[in-house]
Amino acid sequence: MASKDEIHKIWAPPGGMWSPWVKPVLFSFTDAICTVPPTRSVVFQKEWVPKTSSTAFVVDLPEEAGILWGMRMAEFGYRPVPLYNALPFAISDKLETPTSRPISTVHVEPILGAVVRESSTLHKLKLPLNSPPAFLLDSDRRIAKTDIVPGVFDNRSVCFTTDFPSAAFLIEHGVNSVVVVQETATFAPDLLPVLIAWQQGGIKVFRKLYQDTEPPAAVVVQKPSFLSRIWFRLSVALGFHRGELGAFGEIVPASSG
Amino acid sequence: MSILPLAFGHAISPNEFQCIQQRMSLDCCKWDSQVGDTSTLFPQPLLISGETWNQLKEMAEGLAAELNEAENELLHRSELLSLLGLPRPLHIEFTRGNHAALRPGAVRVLRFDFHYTNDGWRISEVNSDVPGGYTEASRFPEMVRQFFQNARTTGDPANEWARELLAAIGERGRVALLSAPGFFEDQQVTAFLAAELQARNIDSRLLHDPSQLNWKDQVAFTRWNGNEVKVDAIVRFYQGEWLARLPDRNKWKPLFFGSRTLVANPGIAVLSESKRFPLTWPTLSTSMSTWTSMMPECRDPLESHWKSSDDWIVKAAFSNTGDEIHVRELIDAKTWGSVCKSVESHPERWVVQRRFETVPITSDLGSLYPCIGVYTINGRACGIYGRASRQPIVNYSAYDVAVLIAGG
Repeated sequence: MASKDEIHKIWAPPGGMWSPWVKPVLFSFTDAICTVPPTRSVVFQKEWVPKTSSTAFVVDLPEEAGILWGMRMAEFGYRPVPLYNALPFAISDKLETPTSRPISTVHVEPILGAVVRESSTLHKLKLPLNSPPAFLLDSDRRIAKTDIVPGVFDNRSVCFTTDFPSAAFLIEHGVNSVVVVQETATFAPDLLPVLIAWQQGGIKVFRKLYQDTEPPAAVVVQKPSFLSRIWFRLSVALGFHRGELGAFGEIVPASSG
Repeated sequence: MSILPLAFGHAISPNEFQCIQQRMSLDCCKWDSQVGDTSTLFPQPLLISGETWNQLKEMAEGLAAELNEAENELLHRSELLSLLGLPRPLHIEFTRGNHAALRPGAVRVLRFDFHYTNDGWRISEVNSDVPGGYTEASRFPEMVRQFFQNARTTGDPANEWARELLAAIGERGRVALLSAPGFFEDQQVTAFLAAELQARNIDSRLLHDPSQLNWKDQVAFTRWNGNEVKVDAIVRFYQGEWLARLPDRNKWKPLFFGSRTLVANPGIAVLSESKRFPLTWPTLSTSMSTWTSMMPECRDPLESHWKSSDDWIVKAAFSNTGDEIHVRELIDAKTWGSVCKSVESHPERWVVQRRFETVPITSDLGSLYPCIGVYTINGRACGIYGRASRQPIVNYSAYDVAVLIAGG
């Protein structure tokens, strides 16, 4: 098995145009004992995939589906750029067996497993260093799948504008449109400011619904209302919606029994 | 070295620096080294002399001693607490007079932000509540040092912190490290500190809400490998003002008052974290001579003509990353207008500080404004978190710079 340095260099090759944006956190866990999930299939129609290099992708799909989609995009010459911002488990649990680790709120371990498993395939593709990017996100990142009681590892996360290149950088490097691939029609609240900033900077935004046979549709991303923004900022800082981060996280108190 | 007390050393070659970046990200929990289009780890170290380091140490230790005394006096001076702009729930608790329930922390970390000016060293603020930057101040300089013959680091704050914590809780202690959910910059700090503890065989858990702690007879417990166990120390990397906005049922108050379990940093830290802390000095009996000689004049926004002057910086009373620090000259008129509106609505949440001119230092990228963050742990200076910015304000997108003592 490749070392964590080797795996990281496959996904973030030295000199790669988009390598600086690859989030390193998952790669620092690739030497942990983890369950590598078997390859699962994802729905992917190739007919609509742009042949030009002026389009970037944001793949916002749950668990390892983002990695799998990213790998399909890699076959078409796009560079998968993992932007997963969450710990799969605590560092101190790296050498624990997966079943003995605390339960986590978000299933990040399958993503870690897919990163490890797909490394050799990505390596073999030998993508050019300046391939257009497909930024990969976990659409479950903000949602707790379990009650956050004592003993549960809360690894929910959000993405920020500063996790992505600016519109100016994208345009300077030949990218003038972005396709967001996701399961739902609405953009995640933490992704919205990213898309608005890009749009304001001159990037065209398209949405492609996962499992939909239609090609990507152009969208004009709307700035959330003043109240929505205030609510989002408050909820990121504090957490009020049960289990949801950035409209997130009231924590369920422990039972005294 | 020039007559300035600090200068950038040569840049480490791109290939060698890439190895450092990789080690920092894969082994040392530096997971935010790309902020937008900026790669934040800087390939040139800042070099200072041994004499300069001794001077900085002495100043930082003097500041820490005065801060400690001032905090303790403030606890008994409830009439001054209203000057601090504390969140209401904290203000109520502190003025309730239950300061006897505040246990002094056995491990207290402070980081003083020094800037070199034409009038000598000045400080802009102290990071008193949840100072971060441990891996940047401990591991990064150590890696950079290898490329500079005879240079040495200023210390290892992470090691010092772990040593002090170990001394406080003993070898078989259990530590819970608490940070806010979703704030990855904070989680990487607790992950790094947890790894430091693990290297010393201390068992640790990362928590992201105070309700994951149960309190029995003022002692904290949590679930550990399926069992409820006593926690020997809580590392609070969760900003005081954020905790205070949580509902009571999240059980945040014991982190400030009445805990028999060690909490580091202790809740009292929130008093000096307020950027309005200097407004209390004129009426304190504690001598703040080191502070007043090093910190620019601060005023309540109601007492100054800051809006029409470029001589003042506007700061929110609680602002950890520099995102609520504003200089009229550096922002557009619309943004400045909305800052003015916010300050006018709630002047008690803001302070104005007289501007000082940091001397820019020449780097390969042009002139940068350095900020030298000197750590003290339990009053003793033990290392530097260096940052440098293209503009006079140092915020989240500043470069992380290794600070080394030149010449052995």
